[in-house]
Amino acid sequence: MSSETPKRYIRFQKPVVIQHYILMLSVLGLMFSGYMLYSIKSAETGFDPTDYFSYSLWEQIHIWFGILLGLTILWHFLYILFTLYGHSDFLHILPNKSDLKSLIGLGFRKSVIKKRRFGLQEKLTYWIIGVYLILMVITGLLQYANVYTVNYISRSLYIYIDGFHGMYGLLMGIILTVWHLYSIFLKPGRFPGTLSWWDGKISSEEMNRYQEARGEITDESDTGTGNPG
Amino acid sequence: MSHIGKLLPFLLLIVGVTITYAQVPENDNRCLDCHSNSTQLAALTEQPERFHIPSDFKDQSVHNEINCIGCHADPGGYPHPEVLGLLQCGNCHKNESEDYLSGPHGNPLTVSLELAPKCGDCHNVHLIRKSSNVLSKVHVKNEAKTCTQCHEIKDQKRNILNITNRVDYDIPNRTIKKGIHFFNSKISDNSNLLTCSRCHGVHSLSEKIGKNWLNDYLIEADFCGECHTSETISFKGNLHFSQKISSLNGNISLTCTDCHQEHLISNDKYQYNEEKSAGQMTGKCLECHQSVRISGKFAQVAKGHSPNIDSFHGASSIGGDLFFSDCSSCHGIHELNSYTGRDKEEVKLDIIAKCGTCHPNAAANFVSSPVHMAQGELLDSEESIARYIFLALIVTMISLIVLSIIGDFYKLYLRKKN
Repeated sequence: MSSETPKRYIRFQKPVVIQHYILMLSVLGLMFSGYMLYSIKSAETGFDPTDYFSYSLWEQIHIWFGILLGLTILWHFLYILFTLYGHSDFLHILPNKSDLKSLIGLGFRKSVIKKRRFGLQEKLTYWIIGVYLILMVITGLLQYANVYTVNYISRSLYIYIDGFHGMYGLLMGIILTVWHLYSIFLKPGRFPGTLSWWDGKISSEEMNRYQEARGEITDESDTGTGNPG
Repeated sequence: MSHIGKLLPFLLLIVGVTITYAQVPENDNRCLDCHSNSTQLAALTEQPERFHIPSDFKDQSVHNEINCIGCHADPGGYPHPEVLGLLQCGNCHKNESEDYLSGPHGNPLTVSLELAPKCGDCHNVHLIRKSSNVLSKVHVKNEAKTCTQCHEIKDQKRNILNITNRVDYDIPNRTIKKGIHFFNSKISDNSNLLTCSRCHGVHSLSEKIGKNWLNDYLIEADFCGECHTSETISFKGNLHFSQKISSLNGNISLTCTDCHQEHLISNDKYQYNEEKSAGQMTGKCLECHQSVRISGKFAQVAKGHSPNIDSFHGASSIGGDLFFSDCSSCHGIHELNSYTGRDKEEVKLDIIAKCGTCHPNAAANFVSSPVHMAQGELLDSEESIARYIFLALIVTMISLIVLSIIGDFYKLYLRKKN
């Protein structure tokens, strides 16, 4: 083992990394197929996806990516409920008083930030994207079962559901994705980005930044300096 | 001698008759000596192909008992006179000739003599076969090709554009042959193929719908009804055909070809023209029903219908799905159910039943929403409010993100400063 190999510390467990991969894939697939469905219905895009597939096929693609997303969310819930790391991470990412202080201090109170496993921005990202995805899944299911939905809800409510899951939902998704990518790659002090999304591990430098990061050692011969969370 | 004397008149009669009948083939043979000989014709004229006549043409011609001078003036010896005179088919075919001269093909008011189609253009000049002969130019299988000699605009002098300046008379042969009426496996008998003359007539082009069809839509519906009886009965009972509309619209109501087209009547039930889309019916209906002006003219309320492309049904049909809902799903096609003026509860039940054919669980609330949205109606109501709420949400989101980014850079600035 070369001593020059930079030490990398586990920040996210493998299940979380895999969940994130599937999440990326399903969200990109849903955005793409959703845009295709929107393009069929709207002449504004100037593009006709039916040159390639019929509306039904685009719809099927969208549904299957939606199912993938739904299963990933289910897996994430089970991971939180029934695994030690999942449970611990969930407790860490729950909003608390420190977040409120941090929010009031607009994130400039370093002493508060350094003591936590997840920063304020990470927590916001998790909860905003999480809630957004759950809402998209629910509205998607309501649209899928539109006959039952329309039997029991008002036309106005269905229009809100349709609007949320449609173009506005897509726009929100794009905005959140851009924000998330900015946080990972472009944020000051983080450029050119972290590879923690790739293998769940962080460098020593990043380790120092995340005071509370889990310190499992990647190389067993290395004693490391991490601090298990 | 006395026997000879008694037989002489009889013998003379036999000889005379023999000579008389022998002259016919002999005369024709005299003509054909030159006119069937390409080499000789080439030596005599600059247009050998024009004057060439196959030596065996009489074997297949319906005119095999008529000799050359039966149609042509006797040219005498060679060289022939410059002009032999026009062929006068009408001398024998009087009715056909009169029909021809009264129709657009033979009427000098509609077409110049030089460019007008003549008898020989459709029937051939010499090799005139029976129309039942599959090699005949007017056999049902060849008729479309014969008509499109002129009616298909090609790079030739005698195309319909040069003759009439009417682009709408351009009927490509392939268009006719793609239509269900020309190529239909159910029609086993060739004589039942619906080719040009079945609709337009033969010589006068007025027997069926060729004449005044613009002003008499009844003729067209009746003609189609000869085979499509139930559709025509349904159609004649609907609003599109009613006297109300016809009287308002200058006695022109919708008729079969307005939706099905004249020549390319496709085999595909839902494909009303050669576009790829299966949602053509919706587009066809909206040609009129999207117009506020037309709706106002014929309906109680002036209300242009928006395309159902905005709905799942519209997108599905325009997107090429073959299982979809369009105007006909609720209104029918030829019978054309109208819901205007009917009892609301009855209409509601009817619509639930219609929706229920594809959506078995549809209940009363399912059909409580307006079915047709007038243009602009949606934007004035709930959807408009929803749009503003979502736009506000998006603007808020972007603002917070921008603030967050500004904060990040401000922190960087403070860190560097310290």
